[in-house]
Amino acid sequence: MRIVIVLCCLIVIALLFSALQVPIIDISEIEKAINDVKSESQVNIEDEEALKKTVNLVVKELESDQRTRLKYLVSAYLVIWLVFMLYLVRLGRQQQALDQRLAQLEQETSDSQDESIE
Amino acid sequence: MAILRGLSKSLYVYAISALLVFISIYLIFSYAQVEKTMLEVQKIFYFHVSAAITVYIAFGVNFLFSIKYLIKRKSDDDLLAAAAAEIGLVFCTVVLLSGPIWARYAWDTWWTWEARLTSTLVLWLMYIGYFILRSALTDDKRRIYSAVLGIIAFFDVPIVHFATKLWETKMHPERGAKLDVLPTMRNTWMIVLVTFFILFAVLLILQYRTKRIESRYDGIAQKHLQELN
Repeated sequence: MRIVIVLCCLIVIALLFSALQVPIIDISEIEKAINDVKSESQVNIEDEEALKKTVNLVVKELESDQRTRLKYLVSAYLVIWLVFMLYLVRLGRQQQALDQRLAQLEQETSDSQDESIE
Repeated sequence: MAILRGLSKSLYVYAISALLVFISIYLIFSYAQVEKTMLEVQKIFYFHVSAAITVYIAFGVNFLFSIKYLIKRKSDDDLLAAAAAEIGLVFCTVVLLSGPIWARYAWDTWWTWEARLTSTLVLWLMYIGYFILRSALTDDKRRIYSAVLGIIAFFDVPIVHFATKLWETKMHPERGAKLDVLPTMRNTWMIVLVTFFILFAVLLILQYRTKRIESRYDGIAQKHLQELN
């Protein structure tokens, strides 16, 4: 039971943290995209450096926003998962305690039966 | 009851419910499209709303079996009512904890005393009270008083459900409001909802069985003590 719970927790944490990995776009990709758009649309851009800088800042801001949203999403699912796991652990302990009590009762019953025979 | 007991013995049910949970998580993160307004944060909705609907069902089961207990006075009905309330409380905790995380992004606040949030908190507190009452009393008194409290507490469920209409709050969407839901989102939500229903049923069986064995044990132990004396 415990192994299953730990395994489930690890799988879910791995799944959720993999969701947090925002694809990072590097400058070379941005430059390539700008060149592609320029050649396709044939727009004359005078200050190429300013354009690259602006696009770069926009991409960074979008990534930061996405990271924030993913943090909310992942923390919500972790909290939900934690509640369920705690409840499952509680159920497991409850059943364990019950097994122990039943074993104790069986022992007491057999002891009293032995005494009555004697 | 016999069907429930039979099902509980089957390991397949537990395996299927665990598998469905993993499939749900996979669908939420990989299959369902990102919603346009709330973007990725909207994905909290799948578990949050499904848990809220399961809360209604769990407390509904508690309500029905509380009434049945008061009519027939069978201890099994009381045990089933208590098991349903316990699982309902777990799902209600999920709703109350995942809601504020969503609210922080959507409304820029962790908590607000809005009608639906407040009535849900009241519902949670009432069922906490239900378990405090159960632990404070013994046998017949416990069964009768908790059945009465279970019936009274259930009246908050329709209040939670119709809160947005009754108090005309603008924060939660109104009941039946037309939302821009894509087919992938709808399909995912349906699967998550079914998963939650199955999860509720499995936990109910498990908890009911445990409570039943506990109750039988107490009976045998009492009898054994009387014999010894």
